[in-house]
Amino acid sequence: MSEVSIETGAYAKIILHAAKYPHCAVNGVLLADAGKTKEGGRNQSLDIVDAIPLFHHSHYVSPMAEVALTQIETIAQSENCVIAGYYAACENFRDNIVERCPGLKIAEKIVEYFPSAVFIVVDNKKMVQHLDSPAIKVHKYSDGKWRPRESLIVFQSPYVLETVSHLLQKGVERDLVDFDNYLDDQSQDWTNQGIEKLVASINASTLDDDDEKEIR
Amino acid sequence: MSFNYEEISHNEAKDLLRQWRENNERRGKEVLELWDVVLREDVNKLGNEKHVILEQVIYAALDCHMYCIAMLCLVMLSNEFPGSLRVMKLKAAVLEAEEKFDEALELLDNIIKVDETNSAARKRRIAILKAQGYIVEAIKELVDYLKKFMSDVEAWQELCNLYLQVQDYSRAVFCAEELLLHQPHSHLHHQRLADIRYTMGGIENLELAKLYYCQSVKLNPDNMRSLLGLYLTTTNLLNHYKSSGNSGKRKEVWKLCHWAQSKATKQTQPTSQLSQMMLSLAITE
Repeated sequence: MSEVSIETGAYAKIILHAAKYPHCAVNGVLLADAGKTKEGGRNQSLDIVDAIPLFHHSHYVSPMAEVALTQIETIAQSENCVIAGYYAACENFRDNIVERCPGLKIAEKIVEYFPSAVFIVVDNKKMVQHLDSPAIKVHKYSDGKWRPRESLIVFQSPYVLETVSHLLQKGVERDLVDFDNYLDDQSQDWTNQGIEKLVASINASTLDDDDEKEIR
Repeated sequence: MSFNYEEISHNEAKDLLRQWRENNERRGKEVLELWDVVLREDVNKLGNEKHVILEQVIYAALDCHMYCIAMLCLVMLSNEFPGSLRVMKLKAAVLEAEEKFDEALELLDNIIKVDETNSAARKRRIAILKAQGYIVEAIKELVDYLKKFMSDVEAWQELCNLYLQVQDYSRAVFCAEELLLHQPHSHLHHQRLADIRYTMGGIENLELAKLYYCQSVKLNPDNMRSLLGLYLTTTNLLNHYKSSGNSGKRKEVWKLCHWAQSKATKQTQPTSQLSQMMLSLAITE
């Protein structure tokens, strides 16, 4: 059975993007490590290493989506990653299914090039400041439809929920930059290196705590 | 932006709230923080702006799910203005936020019965339909509303978005064109219309998109979306014209394409990925 493992940084960016624009639908793409994937394989195990937040408005018009995907492809190739998925959060609090999400066409395009792609829907009802369960639902494409796969998610770090809760409480979502922000101001970094570093430092400090506990 | 609320004075807080009101910024969390730390102590010191500030705080409280603060301010307002339609509209907003949609709709209908010209209450009805997920019904009501209140630019914008959500592009174009009639000098409206035309596809729509992008760039040379949109449109048109041999049109489009590319790359940092992308997409004669 194929498995989808998600890095803390990628999960954090998805949740922060949804938290930054609670009144809008948001979407973005997921990058996976290309070294562990084969071209055109179905049902592969994926290692999602990054999430690129795209838009929070104008979801149904395509030019900026084309620009964004081309840019992301270039970056992905240079970092040995591949576009392996799509995430979306709906505008309406009660919409938690694939059909009500924006940008389904983008997801279908991604699946054309990468048949093992995943579609992550953010579960609006589980978005709270103290996350006690992952606020996402993973779907895989089969027979022309996106079907939910409950058992697939695996997180790289056991502290992912605490880390992301901590980021939400500190209001880090204000610093997240999505592609719409980049189009309004070209000096902003839509790869969100700052947030990656923050997550990495939190991860490092939790690992240190672990080592200390072991030594004692 | 975060403020050190311990040291902010009463007047500074009022100024900040006024600034946000004038710029139409919601800022729910920050308004509530200011309210908690500074203003709640002595509501009567707020002077002339007291009622407007209470209204602002009610909306901020609803945004942040703090219904008790909203009810407190609402009670203060309704004690001073019993039977006021404006206060009734705020009451309907509180009911809407608590998801008591039927009561909210009833209250809004009462407001409309008393005052037929109250456009805000009618728009809230449409917002409730949208919140419940009934997009098609919301569109129908909004169309009826616009038949009566034709110059409401905000409503035309919302209708355009709703049509895009249900992928009815031709009607969305109609709404976007209405927006242009109302505000012909807005580069954003031209860019919006061009985006929709581009999404519809086909040579005629691409030509129109090109025209609207050009107008948008003329009105605001820094609009990155228009520049990139123009670049994409002209690239697509070049592909179409390659096969049909219209060399005059092709030259014109090619020049436009190169101009858009150079403007866009100038605006981004020199080592950015955008220039790499442009280079990889560039069509050479």
